Amino acid sequence: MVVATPAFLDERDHLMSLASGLDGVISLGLGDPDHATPPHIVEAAKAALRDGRCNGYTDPAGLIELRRAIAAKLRRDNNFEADPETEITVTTGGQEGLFLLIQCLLDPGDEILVQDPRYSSYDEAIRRAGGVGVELPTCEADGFDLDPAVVAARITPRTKAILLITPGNPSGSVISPDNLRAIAALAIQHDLVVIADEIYEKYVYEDARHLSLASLPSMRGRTITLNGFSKTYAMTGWRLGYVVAPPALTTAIRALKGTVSICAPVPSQWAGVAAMEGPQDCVEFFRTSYDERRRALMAALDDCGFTYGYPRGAFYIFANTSSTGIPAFELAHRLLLEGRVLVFPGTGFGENWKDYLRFSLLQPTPILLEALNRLRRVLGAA
Amino acid sequence: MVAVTGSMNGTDSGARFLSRRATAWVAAAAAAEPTAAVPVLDLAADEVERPAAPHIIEATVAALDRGETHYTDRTGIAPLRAAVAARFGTLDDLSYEPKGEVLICGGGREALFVATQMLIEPGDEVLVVEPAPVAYAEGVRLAGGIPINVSTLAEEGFALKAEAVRARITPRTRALLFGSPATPTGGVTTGADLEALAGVARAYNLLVIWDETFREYTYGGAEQANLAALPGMRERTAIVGSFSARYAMSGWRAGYVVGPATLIRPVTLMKQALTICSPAPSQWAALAALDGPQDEADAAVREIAARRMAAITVLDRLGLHCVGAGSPFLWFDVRALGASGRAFVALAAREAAVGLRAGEDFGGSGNGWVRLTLNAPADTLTSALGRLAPLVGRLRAGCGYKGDC
Repeated sequence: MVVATPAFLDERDHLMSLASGLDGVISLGLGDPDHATPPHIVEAAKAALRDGRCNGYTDPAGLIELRRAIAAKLRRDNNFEADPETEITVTTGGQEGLFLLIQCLLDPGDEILVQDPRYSSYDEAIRRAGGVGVELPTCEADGFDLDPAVVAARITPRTKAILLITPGNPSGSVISPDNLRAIAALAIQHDLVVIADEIYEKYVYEDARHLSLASLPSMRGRTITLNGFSKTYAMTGWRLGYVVAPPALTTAIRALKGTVSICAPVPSQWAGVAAMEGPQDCVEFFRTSYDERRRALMAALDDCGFTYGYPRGAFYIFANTSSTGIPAFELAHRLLLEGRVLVFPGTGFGENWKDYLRFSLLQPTPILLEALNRLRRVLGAA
Repeated sequence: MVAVTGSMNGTDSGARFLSRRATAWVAAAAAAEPTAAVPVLDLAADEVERPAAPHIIEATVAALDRGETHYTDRTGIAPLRAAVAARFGTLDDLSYEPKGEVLICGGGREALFVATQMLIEPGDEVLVVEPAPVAYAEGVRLAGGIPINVSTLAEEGFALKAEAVRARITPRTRALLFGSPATPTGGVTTGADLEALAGVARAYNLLVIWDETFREYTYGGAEQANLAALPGMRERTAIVGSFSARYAMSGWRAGYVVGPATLIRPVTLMKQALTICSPAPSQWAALAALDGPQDEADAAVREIAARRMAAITVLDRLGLHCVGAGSPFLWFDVRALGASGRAFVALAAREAAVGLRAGEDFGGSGNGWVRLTLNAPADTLTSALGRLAPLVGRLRAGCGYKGDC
C-alpha cells in the first residue's frame, strides 16, 4: 500500500522540515519568487470575489475569458495561434498541466526523452503513466544546453515524445535557437511529439531569446505547450497554469482534469485574466531584478571557487561544489545547520548530480550575498 | 488558425485514452441542449449555486491583501490543518494530528484523486459503490486498480450493505471506496449498516476511503456517523472531504484528506507531485469557513431540507419516487414511465427546458433514475417540477413528444 518514497523527496523533505524549525534561515530553496503578485492582478481577484464571479465551478477547460486571453498572449508573445475553444486547458498550476498531459499522451512502455538535470516532478508523472523517461545528458561546460546529437542518439522505435524545458530548471539553461531548430527537425523526421515547458519563458538574460517550439514551421501540430502564471507573475500560491494541445488530446486532458480536480480555482482564474490582459511592465521589473541577482550570485560563486553552468535564463544557478569534496546532500545539510542557508542538493534533479547545489535567485541581492558569506564561513570552518 | 497535422501521435493517444478511460463528464451538458425558446431551468449542476458567506469572501480578500500569494506548506497552512483536525474532535471525538494526519487539497475531488492514487497499487481490486460519480472508478483505474462495483439498492434506501460488500471480496480486494451521504442516490450508510461495514473491513483487512462531502445533509433524523470512529477503523480509514458543498466554496477548490499518518504520508507525496500545494487564498478562506459562524451553512441545510420535502411531495404526485435520506440531491425513479434515465433527461431538456442528470452518468445501475439538485433556488425548483408534470403525463400516456399525443 505504502509506495516507496523517492530518495530525493526524502532529502528535500528533510531539509525543508529542518529549516522550518530554525530561526533566521535564508531560503534559496523553492522556486517561489519573493516578489508580491502585482497589485492589479490581486485587485482583479478581489473584484471577482466581491462581484460573485467565483461561485460554482468553471468549465473543466477553464473560464473562456481566460482561455481567450491566453490565446491572445500566445499570438502576441509566442508567435503561434491556438483555439481557446478546442486547444487550451486551464490547470491548477503548470505541474498539474504536465501531469494531465503526460497521462493522456503516454501509453505504458512509451519512451519520453527528458533533459538531465531536470525538474523532478516530471519523473512521477511519467512513472504513473507507465512511461519510460530516457535521460538526455547535458553538461555544465555547455551551460546545460541540449545537443541535438544527444537527442538523435536516444531516439528508438518506442520514443513517443521529447520533453523540453527552456529556460530550464534547475540549471538556468537556455537551449540555443539552432539546437532547438535541429531538435524540432528530429521530431518531424521521427514523428515525435514535443512538449515545450515554457514556464520560465520571460526570464532570459544577456543575448538569450526565448523561442517557442510551436511557432517553428511544421511544429504547431506536434507541439504541446505548457505554461503557467507562477513564475511570470509571481503567482505561485494561486495555482494556475495552462496546456495548449491539439484538439483530440485537449479533449482527453479536459476529461482527466474533471476527474482529477474539476476545475482550476476560480479567483485565480480571474486573476489570470488580469495578468494576461493587464500591463506587462511588472514582468520586465522582475526580470531586471533577477538579472541583477544573477550577476551578483555568479560573482560570489566565483569568489568561492565554485563553477556553474552559465545561466542565461530562469532564476536558478546550478553550481558545481566538487571542490569542497563534500557530497551535495551533506553539504546542503551542513549549510542549513551551520549557516542557516537552505539550498537543494543536485540529487533532487537527477541522480548524477551529487556534486551540485541549486541556488535560487529569489531573495533580494543583499540577502543573496549574505547567504554566500555564510556559505564561505561554513566552508572555511570545514 | 494553423491547421493541426494529422500525424501527431498524440491524436491517436487522445482517442485511445478516451476509450480506455472515458468519463461521462460532458454527457449531461450535451443531453441538456434545449430546443425550446424558454429559458432552461437547470437542475443538473453538481455544485452549490448560492454565494459563499460574506465572511468567507472577506477572509479571501484579506489573505490577498496580506500577500498570501506564495506556495504554502505542501500539506496546507497549519491553522487550517488544525481546524480540520478539530472538526473530527468535535463531531466524532476522534483525534488527528494536524501535522502528518491532515492533508489540505485543491477541492474534494483532488483529495479523492490523490488518496486513490497512493493507497491503491496496480492490480488491486477496489470495491466502489455504485451508482456514484464516475470519478470514483476513474481514479481507481488511473491508479492501475480494478474497480469492482458494489451496487446499492432502492429497496435499501441506497445504503451500502455489508453483505453486498462481502459478496464481492476476493483475495485481491484491497480497499473500499464510498460516499455517504451519497451522490447521486442520497443513500445514507450509518448506524447498524456502518457497524456491519466496519466488521467486514476489519475481517478482510480492507482500507476504506470515505467521501464525507455531504455529511451534514441528512434528513429525518438519520445522522451520518464517522466510520473511522468505530473500533479498529481509524487505522484503515482515509476520510475525504470538501468545503464546496457546506460552505458554497466550489470555486475556491479546497478540500482535505484525513487519516492515520501511515496513509497520509504517501498521499502527501502524490499531492506534491500533482500540484505542489493548494491555492493559498482558498486555504485562508476555508479556515474562515471552519472557524467562523456556522449559522449560514446550517441554515442552508435546513433550506435544502425544506426544498426537498416540497419537491418530494410534487414528485410523489407525479408517481416518481425518491428513497435517499441524504445529500443535496434528489434521485428519482422513472422506470415506470418506460424511459431510461438518459431518455427522460433528453426529453426534459427538449420538451420542458429542464436540465437534469441521467442516472446512467453514474454507472449502469443508475439506468432508469434521474438526479436533480436541491441547490437551485426554491422557485426554480418549483417551476421546473411544474414543467415536468405534463411531460410525465404524456409519457404515462405512452408518448414522449408533444407531437405524438
